[in-house]
Amino acid sequence: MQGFLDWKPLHHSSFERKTFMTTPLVALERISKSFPGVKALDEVSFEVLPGEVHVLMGENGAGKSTLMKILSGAYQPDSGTIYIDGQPTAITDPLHANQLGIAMIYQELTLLDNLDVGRNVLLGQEPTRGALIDWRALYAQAADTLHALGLDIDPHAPLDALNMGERQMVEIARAARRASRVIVMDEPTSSLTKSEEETLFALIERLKARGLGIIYISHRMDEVFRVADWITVLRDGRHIETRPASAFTRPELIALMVGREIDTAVKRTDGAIGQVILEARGLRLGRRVRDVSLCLRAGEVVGLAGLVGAGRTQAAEILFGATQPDAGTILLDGKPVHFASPADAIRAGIAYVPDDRKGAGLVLTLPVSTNLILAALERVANAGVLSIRAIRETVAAWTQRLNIRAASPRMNIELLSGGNQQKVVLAKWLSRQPRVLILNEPTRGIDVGAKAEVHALIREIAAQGVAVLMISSELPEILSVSDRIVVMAAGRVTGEMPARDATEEDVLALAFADELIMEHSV
Amino acid sequence: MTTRTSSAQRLSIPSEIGVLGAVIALFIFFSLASPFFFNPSNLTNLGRQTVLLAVTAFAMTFIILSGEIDLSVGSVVSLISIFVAMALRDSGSIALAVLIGVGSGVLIGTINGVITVIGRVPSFITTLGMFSAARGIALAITNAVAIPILNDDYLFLFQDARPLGIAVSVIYAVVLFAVLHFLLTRTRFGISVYAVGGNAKAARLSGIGVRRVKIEVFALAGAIIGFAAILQIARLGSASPEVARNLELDAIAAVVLGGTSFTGGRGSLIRTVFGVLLIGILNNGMNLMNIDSYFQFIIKGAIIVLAVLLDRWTRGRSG
Repeated sequence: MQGFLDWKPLHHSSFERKTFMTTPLVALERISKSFPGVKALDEVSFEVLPGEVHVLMGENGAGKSTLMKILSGAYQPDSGTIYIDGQPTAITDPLHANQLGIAMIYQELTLLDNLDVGRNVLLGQEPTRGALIDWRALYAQAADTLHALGLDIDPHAPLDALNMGERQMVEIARAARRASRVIVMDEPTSSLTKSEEETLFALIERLKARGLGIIYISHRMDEVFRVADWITVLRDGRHIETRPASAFTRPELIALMVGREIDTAVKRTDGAIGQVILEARGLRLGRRVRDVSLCLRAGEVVGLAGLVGAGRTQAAEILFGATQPDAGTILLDGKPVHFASPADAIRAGIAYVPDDRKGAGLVLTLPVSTNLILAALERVANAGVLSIRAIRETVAAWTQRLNIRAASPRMNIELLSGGNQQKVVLAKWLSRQPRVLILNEPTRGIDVGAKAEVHALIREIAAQGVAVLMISSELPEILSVSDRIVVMAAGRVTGEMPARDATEEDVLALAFADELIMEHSV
Repeated sequence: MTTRTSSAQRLSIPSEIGVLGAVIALFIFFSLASPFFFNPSNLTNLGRQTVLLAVTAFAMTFIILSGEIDLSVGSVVSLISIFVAMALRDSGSIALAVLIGVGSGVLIGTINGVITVIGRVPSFITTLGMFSAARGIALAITNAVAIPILNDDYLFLFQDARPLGIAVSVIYAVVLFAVLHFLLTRTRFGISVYAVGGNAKAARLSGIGVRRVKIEVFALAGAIIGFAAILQIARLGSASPEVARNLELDAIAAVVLGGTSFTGGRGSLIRTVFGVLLIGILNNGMNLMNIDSYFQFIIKGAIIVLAVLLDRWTRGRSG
């Protein structure tokens, strides 16, 4: 029988955890997990004590989500042990995690819109009398739960009458009802206003007072320092540091998150940078895009950096006519234009490679050749009739030019590797010879070799005078491929700089700058 | 153009071969099983019986490839056949009757398309409404009484003529197939239909007018259905508000039996021809063998599900 006396502190830093005194509610010890081609977690250890908020920090891809998916039973670790109250435990699936008193709150809410608050809070745990649901007890229990958390929400209110903040609170109330041990909150404030955040922080204090452990994932510095008791930093799937929050400074935390050597293998060609081709002024779209102005020049690669959720994709989709902004102007060659649809933007010489290759970039039911010509049908057709010869020539030229490895142009696109699929998407747009090329995460999920080819291609396209906007969440890519870097946070452009002298810390500081803006604007 | 993944495709064998094999096997089976099957008069009869299903299934192929469904086909055939018969009776002009048949088809198809695409009503619901309404209109304007077709020129042109000894309606169906196959595989419109049905979001981001293409598909399908009605009344010699019940279900069965994906984006008209032949030969052969009509339904149902099940199994491994 293993009790808390057998428990040893996991972290050999100068900051001793109080684990001699208290058994962690949950401890993950030396957890490793690999996916094909990636070691997502490499002997990572992490624990949470009763009544503590333990913040998990790291860049996109550092391994935070994988670690939490292991804790929730969605993934099984390749090696390592999970301890619940000091007992080694295998968490077999998410339902099992729930039974162990572990609840997750994801960024996307999982409430059911067609039910009211009370039914959502007690979903799957409805009190019954005989075979029937005891409605009176259900609403009474829901009211108790909400009240205990200090929430003033009517359990009879239909869910679609609530705003985002209230929905988040209902989500937390539901988790709190189930969780006897640990609640994991993944970016819980991403859709909250400042005052809603205060409600959340008060609620977290109540949960702590009840002896629950809270694992809190966030990129926002102010918020992290506000709620954290302890902070653990992950980087590239490894545990980097665990300390009390008061023992970190903000720059130190950023440096620990970035940490890796900077890769500058890409050759900048230094072609002449020309006139402004496309310019955006004051774009706004709901809460996602609050104020975006930027200009794209011929021959220049602009890297658009920022955290996931900063509004970069929405801004790009506005430039491409795929989304209509609430306000703002787009200028092409200095003249205002209106793109009512992607077709309008395409006619104006703009191309867009979306981040979701399979969901938005390709038609997976069609062969390689058809996918490659799909954005330029009018160029291979005469009065609506396709020229088989023109198609064959176009496809042959571009598969050769981009070194697309497909057994046959008639083979189904699904059978190609991610890198080759991405090259087909690029070829589809390059065959139109666009003036402006917008790339959204152009190397996501493709292997190292294909990535280097895509980077070289982007530089080559720019050298031919195309204005390139490259959205990327990978800082080394932003730093090495761009000429100029524009950073967005919380729907705004927070700064820009020449890429030549920029460091990851500079970019990250701007990407985390949203709190400063919020304070000025709210 | 081959548009789907299969182990057969990796070996460069067109994946239509499987369905074609079943058609040939069934043809040989009935030729051996019934002395009446393989002779010129029965084969002509088989062709004539199958034309209505074939033409309707062509329309359904476009609809299903674009990622939609049309349940109103049978009712619309009966309604348009009433329009055509009335135009023929009152004006005596074949040209006008044909124009009204195809024109009202385009109109009804466009209504289905606009409600589905602009009104954002699922096509299953839109065409379920049209299924009921069109039949109701047909019954109301005829008072449920059939209109006879007494124009001999019309009957000759669409039913009795036998150029080169082949039933004229079969020739119309073959020509229509050739035109539609060209449209689907060799034009911007055709490629757009596949793209819209395969991934509407990717199609839109490639500059294809997704809504326009879908409405055009409904309008085109309506025109084809109008032509089906024109052939149908010539074959029956009258226009009845009661005909073509369940035609939409047979057409959907033929399309799916051919192997066209029910979710859109994959398939072809050639596949649909094989699916139509499969159902047509099965109906004809079972009748010749005097199989009880209740059993015919059972056998047909079982074969449809088994054929698709078999197709899924052979395709399953290649994903």
